[in-house]
Amino acid sequence: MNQSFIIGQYVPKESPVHALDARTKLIIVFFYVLVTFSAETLSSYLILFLFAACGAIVSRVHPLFIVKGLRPIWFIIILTFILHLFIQRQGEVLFTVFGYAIYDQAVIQAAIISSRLFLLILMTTLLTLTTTPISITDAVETLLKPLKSLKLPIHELALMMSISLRFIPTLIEETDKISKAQASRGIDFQTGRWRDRLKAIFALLIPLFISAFKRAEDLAMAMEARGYRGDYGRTKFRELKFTSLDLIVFLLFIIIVIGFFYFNG
Amino acid sequence: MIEFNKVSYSYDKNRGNAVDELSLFIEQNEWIALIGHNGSGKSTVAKLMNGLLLPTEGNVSVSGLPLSEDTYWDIRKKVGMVFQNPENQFVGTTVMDDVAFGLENLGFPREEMVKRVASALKEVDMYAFKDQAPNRLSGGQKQRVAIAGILAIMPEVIIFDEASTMLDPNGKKELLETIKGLRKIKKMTIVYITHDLSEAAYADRIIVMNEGKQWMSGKPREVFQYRDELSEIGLEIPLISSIYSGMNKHGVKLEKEPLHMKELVDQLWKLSSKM
Repeated sequence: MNQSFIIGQYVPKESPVHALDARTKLIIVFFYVLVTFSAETLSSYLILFLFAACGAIVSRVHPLFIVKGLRPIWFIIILTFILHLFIQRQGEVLFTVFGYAIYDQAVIQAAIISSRLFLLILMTTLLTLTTTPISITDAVETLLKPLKSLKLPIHELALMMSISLRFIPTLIEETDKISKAQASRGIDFQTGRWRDRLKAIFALLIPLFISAFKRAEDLAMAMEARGYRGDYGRTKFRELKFTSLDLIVFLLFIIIVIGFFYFNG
Repeated sequence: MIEFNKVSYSYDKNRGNAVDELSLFIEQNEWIALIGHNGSGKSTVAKLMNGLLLPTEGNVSVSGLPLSEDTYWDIRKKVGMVFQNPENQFVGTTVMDDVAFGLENLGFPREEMVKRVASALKEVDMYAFKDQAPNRLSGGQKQRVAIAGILAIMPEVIIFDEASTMLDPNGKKELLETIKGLRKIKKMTIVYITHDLSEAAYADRIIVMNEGKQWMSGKPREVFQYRDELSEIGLEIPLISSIYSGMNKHGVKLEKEPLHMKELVDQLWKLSSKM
């Protein structure tokens, strides 16, 4: 088992972006996404891109990590671009490819939609690269707190998230162990027809599920023994802290948003 | 400290009682080893001590407080429990978070938590690992973190429910050394459940369970004299005791029955000495 295994994509670094409160980052990403959907002019896109690029530079995360984070999405961005290129049939004909006319409006639309996608993914990748999963969980819990009055199980959801995070490495280790144990009994995961391979996967999944249930039962017992009774009278050890840095970044973001709407017409 | 008065518990009415009209009394600051083979009811007794189970018949009380549906939350503050599987009782994503879990449940203010987490981790000598994730720790270290999580709440009793069973020999030693160290610096009652008689030897008193009943109770030295009877109910005599009785049979008389390797060795090298 790889000991350096890290959950999620978090890259530990000492940077102002890392130091920001997870709530600040979450709120900014949320509004950034909203604003991006209303972007129409080139200059407004430029502003949004500048903001994301500044964030990426200040975070001191190596650009390769960001590119890696974007990797699964490149295909979708390119596909959307090509689809829009061919489906849009407005404006002047720019040129023809294999007898198929490409319109100038189509090029513009394709560029807009794919850069929108690009910016969204860039921003959210930046969030997960600079924030630990557990602080994102905490931020979600505190930001959704008002929904508790609607009887929504916010605390339970957050606890489920944090327990899942804690048990991911455990279950990966277990999967590793079970697959080796089953392989030593002659089960072949790698070759054969897909139906045989599917069957082999069951030999891995069933023991894994049984042990996960056993773990859940043990954990519930241990939690109860330590006085866990849901949200009742509970305080929190981990704390999120707004600093003056958060205030500055918020102000900066508001200026960006105002600038955005100014140039967006 | 802990009192059982004719306590019975059954998981399934058709299969008889797991604990059967058990009466016992544990003094304050006593280190009790609760031993018995699998299915003797010892783990059930542990769960009855902190209200994870409520007795079907009879009464349990902890420092004068009778256990019932209304009081088991208070009793859990007095009785902490370390379980068998070190992995499955680790709730937090880091060592510090896990130690704080019990304090969070009881609603301690944050400043108090920070202080208590630090001092509890220092007591089990795990402070250097405070930011580590559980998958970087050994089994013995995880059990020490579990102990710290209980110490932080400052209970009166700690129950170890077969806490050493899944540990390697080093981990077992680590666990027992931690308990011994704690007993030196603070007063607390310890209930140590095991089926390993050599670990039970460290206790002040051993209670032997068989078929849901108390089969015997006494100082380790007294209990170990009933070798044949103990192995009849499925308990294996520690090596040291077997050596002692074997030597006895062959006419080599030692001063007194040794409990640990060191005692045996000390007596052996003095045996033929005339000084």
